[in-house]
Amino acid sequence: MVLNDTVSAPHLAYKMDEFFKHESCGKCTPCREGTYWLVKVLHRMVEEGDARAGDIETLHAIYQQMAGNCFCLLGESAVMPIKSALNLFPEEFEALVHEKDKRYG
Amino acid sequence: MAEDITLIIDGVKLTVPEGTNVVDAARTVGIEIPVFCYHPRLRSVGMCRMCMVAVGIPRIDRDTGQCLLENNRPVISMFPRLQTACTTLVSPGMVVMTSTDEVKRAQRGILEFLLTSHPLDCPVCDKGGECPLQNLTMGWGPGTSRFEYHNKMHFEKPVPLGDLILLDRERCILCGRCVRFQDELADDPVLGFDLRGRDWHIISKSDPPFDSKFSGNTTDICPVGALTTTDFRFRSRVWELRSVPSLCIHCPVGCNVNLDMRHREVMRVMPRENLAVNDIWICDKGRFGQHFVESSERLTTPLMRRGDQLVQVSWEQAFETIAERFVAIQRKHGGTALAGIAGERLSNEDLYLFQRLFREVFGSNNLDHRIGTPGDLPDDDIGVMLGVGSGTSLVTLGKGTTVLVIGANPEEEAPVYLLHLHQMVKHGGELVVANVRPTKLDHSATLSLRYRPGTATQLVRGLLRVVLEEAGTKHLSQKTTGLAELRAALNHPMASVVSATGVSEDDIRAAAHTFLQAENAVIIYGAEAMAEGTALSQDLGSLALIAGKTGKANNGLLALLPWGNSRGVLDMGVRPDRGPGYAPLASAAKEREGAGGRKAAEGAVQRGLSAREMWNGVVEGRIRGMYLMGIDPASAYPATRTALEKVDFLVVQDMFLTPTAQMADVVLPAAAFAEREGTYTNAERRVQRVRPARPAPGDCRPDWAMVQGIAEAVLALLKGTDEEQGTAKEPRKKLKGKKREAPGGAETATESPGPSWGYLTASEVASEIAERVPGYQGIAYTRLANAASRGGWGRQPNESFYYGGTCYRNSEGVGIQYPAPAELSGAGFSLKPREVETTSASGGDTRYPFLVVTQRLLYDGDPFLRDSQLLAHVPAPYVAINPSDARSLGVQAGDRVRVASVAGVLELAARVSDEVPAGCVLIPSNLPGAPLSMVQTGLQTRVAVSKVGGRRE
Ligand code: SF4
Ligand code: SF4
Ligand code: SF4
Ligand code: FES
Repeated sequence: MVLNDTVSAPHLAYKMDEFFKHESCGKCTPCREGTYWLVKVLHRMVEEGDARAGDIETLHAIYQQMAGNCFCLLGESAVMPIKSALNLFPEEFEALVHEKDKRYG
Repeated sequence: MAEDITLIIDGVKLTVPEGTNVVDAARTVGIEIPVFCYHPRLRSVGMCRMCMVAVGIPRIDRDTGQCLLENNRPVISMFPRLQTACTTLVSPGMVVMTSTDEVKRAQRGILEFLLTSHPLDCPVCDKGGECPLQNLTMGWGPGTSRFEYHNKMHFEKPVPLGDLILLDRERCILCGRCVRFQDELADDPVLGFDLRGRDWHIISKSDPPFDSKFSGNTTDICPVGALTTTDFRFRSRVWELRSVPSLCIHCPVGCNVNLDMRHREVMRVMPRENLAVNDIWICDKGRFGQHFVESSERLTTPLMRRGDQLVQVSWEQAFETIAERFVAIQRKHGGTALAGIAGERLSNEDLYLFQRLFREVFGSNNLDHRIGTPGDLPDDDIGVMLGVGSGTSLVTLGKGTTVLVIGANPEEEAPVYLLHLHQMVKHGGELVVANVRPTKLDHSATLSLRYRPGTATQLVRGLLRVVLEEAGTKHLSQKTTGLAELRAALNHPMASVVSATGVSEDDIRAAAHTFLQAENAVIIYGAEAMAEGTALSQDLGSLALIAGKTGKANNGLLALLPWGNSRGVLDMGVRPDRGPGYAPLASAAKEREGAGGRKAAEGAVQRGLSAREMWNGVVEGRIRGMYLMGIDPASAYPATRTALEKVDFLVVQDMFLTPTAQMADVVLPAAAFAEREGTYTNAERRVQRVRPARPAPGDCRPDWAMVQGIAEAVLALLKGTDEEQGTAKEPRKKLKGKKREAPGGAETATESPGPSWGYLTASEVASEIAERVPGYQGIAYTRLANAASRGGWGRQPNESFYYGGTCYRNSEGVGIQYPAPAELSGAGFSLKPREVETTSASGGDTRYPFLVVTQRLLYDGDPFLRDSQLLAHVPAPYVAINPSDARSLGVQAGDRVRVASVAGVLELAARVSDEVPAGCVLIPSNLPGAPLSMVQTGLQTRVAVSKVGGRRE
């Protein structure tokens, strides 16, 4: 995968987890439901510009509930993008929330 | 034997057998680990991830191979990730923690995830109130969800998976229990998953959809309300239901059920756990086939013939008339001009009194339970003599067990046994299946033998030869006779067995070895085997005996008789040639004398007429009066109509105005099994109890009470010739021991009655059975309610976590299995082979080139299927023909064909199936309209087949 520094971390996490959601076989709960939920939240934040105050906390909770609990590595791998993005580029997620706050006052 | 393993769960030290998983291990000490996808009867798959626990194992010193110790305690290294307890097998020294913060977080997380897809329509969900998802959410889940979307899963709902089962996709948590049940236990792999990810969902893969006789069980083990039955859906909230313990009486398994009642209505039928009988399952006939009870067509009052019409009368009128007419016949023609036939879904109490009435009051042994067709099966006695030992539980069989299934199709004859057999194979047991055509069991069989129709006895003699060679006879008891005759019968070369049966010598030897070498061995034989005559069952008995597989638990014979109390019918002696407890007539009569009766009348020690002989007897004027209880010959064997019309006086006792009842002079309305007390005896000789769940409609009475009503009226009448009538109705005295006073001096030619009548309850009749019927000693009615000793395998509190919220707990009685005579010391057995019956009327006749093979169907012309959705599964009458025969006859599937024998002609729709051996046609025995009976000439029938007219459809 080739990326330059214009790609936002939330966007990257969103795209990657969308991939995992698509690949999830559905057999185990955390992967099936976790990837779906992650993508759901990220889609709203990134694509719809509708990031909310609690979203960051929710994202943390979702990947934590997945991590270590999935049947196979696919689910575990889905944790990595969002976990790294949240932990390495927290400001980009916060910016999404603030942007929205600014827009709607 | 599996080794024991000691481990520690939440600080509790426990020891369980090797191979146990952590969920089951924890339950033995009352620690609950929440599960969704795990089910103790199914393979663990680790799908739902609900059962996460922290697991550690002792660290091993690489040099010594010993546990590393620190302060004298083993050093435990914990796995870095949580483990699913359902897929983790116990190991020595393992440490498990089920409620650390990490575990709790994980479990809460899984529940939250599950609920993100879940509709939470509890208020309208059938599972609400007994739903594991509700329960586990209360116990382990988060209080609120952060999933704030209104776009939960939305699907059209419900989607029918078949005509009986509906799927609510929104509620499905994709645990796969239903799929695994169908694959592993039912061996009907008709369900599957489609698509993937969050679109993953359950589908039916079969045509017709959800084609399985066990489909209802999936709704029980479904841990949510995703699977519901069309039978129960939206009919009631579960907390409004009152569960009444009962039995299914449709087949010889005798499944324990709960009738879940709301007021008088049976809202649903649920399995009640009995490890010795049905485990936690029932088949769909047991679940969906009990609506006859509530039919609006139930009889409600006694009816009496006035000219062309049956009009309502009082009980007194009915009984008096019956008594007058029967006594008149008895006086004029003797008691043996009276005959009775009783059905096989009546309780032991009904049957016992029925034969008492005939034997003691009328002095007649004209008793039967069969319908009198030429194809009536011979009574099975060997299945009791050498029956499976007490303590047998098919459910627990596995490694070390061989089951030989011969001439049987458990799926149709005793469905729940099929599940047990599949489970036995799963647990390492060996299954040898011998049949003339494929059955579903072949799929899981270790060895399938396909013998030519009519050669089962020869096949078994082949097996006997091998077993005799290898096992010898030294171990046989002194009381075993007939060995020389047996040897003589076996004295022809194996090659002749091979050429007659078409089974290879290798297979015969392999089957014999598997049987002989097993630690436990059971022989199951069914209707098709019994149709080969008693020679076969006799030889099966010898086989079990010589192989040393009798007289102990999990060994012996198991006969699949047709109905829920077919064994009880024989036990109670409702047959022309034996008294209660299989006693010869003379000793049965002696026993009655001992019990207070007078010297037996001549008729009482002479073999009576069988049903078949009765019909002739009527036509010839020897039989003048008949009493039919719970049986409908006019439907099951239409040829009896002539006799039924001719007989002078006909009493029919039934729940419905059956075609037979319509011909009666007096009709008595019977209470259904769900409206009364009574006991039933299943194939394994387990005596079990039913209880009243609802009031009987109108004036219905339990069958035993009506038999008694007749007996008392007759006795009063007989007595009335001397004194004024009425004394026979004194309340029954409590009788102790064998000294009983006979009421009044009935001065007739018949034997005077033994113990008085006047039973007030079914349990009083049951006590008398326990006292007087050999084998039933000690089966006290109250003990039938004991459940304590057989509650299952280490069951734990709160079953709902295991079974999906549906209460299977059996606290109301698991019944009592009475010992087979072979278990008692001193029982003798003759190995002497019986004549192989060649009953075929025109064997070898080129005009009738086809041999009829037959089979019982579960969904058949059974009148008890009235008002059930299963009626849609009853096939229209048909004859199945082998493809090569069909070709040479120019017959295609759907054509009408003419089937003719010396006895009659029949037109049926043809099916073409390679499951039918060439040279044979298959006609199920109990199709609606009973077509088979019209051409049958004996146990084996030969027919000619030709095509009529053009194709239908
Ligand atoms: S399955 Fe259980 S939790 Fe789901 S709607 Fe039904 S009752 Fe409620
Ligand atoms: S329908 Fe029920 S049993 Fe089947 S997968 Fe869904 S939740 Fe499990
Ligand atoms: S297996 Fe037999 S006894 Fe059990 S539910 Fe089915 S029909 Fe009834
Ligand atoms: S993963 Fe263990 S119960 Fe489902």
